[in-house]
Amino acid sequence: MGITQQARNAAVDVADGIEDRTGLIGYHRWFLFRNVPRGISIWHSLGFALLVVFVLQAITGAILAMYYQPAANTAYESIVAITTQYDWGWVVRGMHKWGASVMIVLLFLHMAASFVMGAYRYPRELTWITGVLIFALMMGMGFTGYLLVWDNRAFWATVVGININGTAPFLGPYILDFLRGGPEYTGQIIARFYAIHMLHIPGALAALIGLHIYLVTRLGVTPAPWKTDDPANHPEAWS
Amino acid sequence: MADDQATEPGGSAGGSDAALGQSVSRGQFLTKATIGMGAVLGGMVAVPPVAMMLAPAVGGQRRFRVPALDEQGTPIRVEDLPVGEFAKFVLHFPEELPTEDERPRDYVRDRVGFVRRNPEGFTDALTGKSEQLTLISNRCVHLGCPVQETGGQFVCPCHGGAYDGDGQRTEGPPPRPLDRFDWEVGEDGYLYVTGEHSLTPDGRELDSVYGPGQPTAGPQSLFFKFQP
Repeated sequence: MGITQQARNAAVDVADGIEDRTGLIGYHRWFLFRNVPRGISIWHSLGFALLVVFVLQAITGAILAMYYQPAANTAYESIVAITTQYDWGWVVRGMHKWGASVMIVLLFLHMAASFVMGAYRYPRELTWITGVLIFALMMGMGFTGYLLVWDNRAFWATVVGININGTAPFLGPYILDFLRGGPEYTGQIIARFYAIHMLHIPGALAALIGLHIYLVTRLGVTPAPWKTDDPANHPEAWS
Repeated sequence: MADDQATEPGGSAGGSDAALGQSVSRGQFLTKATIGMGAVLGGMVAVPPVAMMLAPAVGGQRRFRVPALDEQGTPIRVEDLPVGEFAKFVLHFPEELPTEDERPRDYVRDRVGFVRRNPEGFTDALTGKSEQLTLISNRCVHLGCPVQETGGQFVCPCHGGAYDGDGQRTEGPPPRPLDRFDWEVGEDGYLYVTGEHSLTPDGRELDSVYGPGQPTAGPQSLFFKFQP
């Protein structure tokens, strides 16, 4: 037996061992090897594109967090240092900054495509609802991340944004105080927004994205509405 | 019940629960007690973080007593103010408050306002009051940008809100007049700011300061009656 064959056997043994203990290969097959309806186009790939950008944002954000200093007198300087002093810092920060815009654009396109495909209808209502929640949380990510640069534009844009929230009926005054962390804009707001941006929203987003992907996997990709007369597009016909 | 007793290991030594007149088996009691204690412990763990997170939303209105400083950081003596003209003043919170209790946390931005020393016989066209000083906040009541004073009037650079010399809205989207600062003249003759309040468009002074964009009169004001 050649060394190549030995290596292959060893790899198979390792994979078998993992499969025995986790069943991951079965899940992997369930997740990836699925029937898809006819009429699949690039518009059906936007969700995956979003997932890729989200992962990139998470990775670049985690790296930026090693250098960013979320305090009123250090935040802007640390951003400048990331951009001008640290190796590859300008690339990582650029990826994170422009990735945020790309994500918002993809989000709108994905939502529009899903709407046109009728992905909100039975049996995918819950998929649509989780998508809407993901949309809201992504907006929250953008809003809280915008402040972290801590320059004049970021500060005043955030002031205006928070004050818009304050105009909500009844709860507005309380939302206002909650977001700014008290009756005034203080240095606390940057730590507050940093925590929301780094921990609260990403945690909720990860859970919702997991649920969203599970539902998409379970219910199948939405067929294009102009193909719905094709029996192959009905999930119940696939089993 | 009898079946429960039969399958329950280590049942009561003194006979069945039914025989003792009990309606809850030991297993059921332990289950409920565990759930109850879990709920209590869970509440004890959950309440403080949630309360800490939400506390700022119900923190109440701010009261203070801060000396008004000019742009060079010098305390403003009232008799040095020009009559009939606005002068910019700054409220520099962290260092100047007399006691730790009165000191707000970690102020990043000093509050800014405009003070006018009014001439003899002056009557405020908005409030109808005859006061020595008029102190107007620079916070635009549309969405909170800082208004600029030009020729005795106020203009907001963000969305074009404009106000006259009494802070009454004359143009643009603001829903009410500019907020006013409460003030007093100390025994030393210096100007102290002691609070802030909003006004209705017809000049009625309110007890609290409303957030930007929140109307103080008309049907929409009902949405903002309750302030933290």
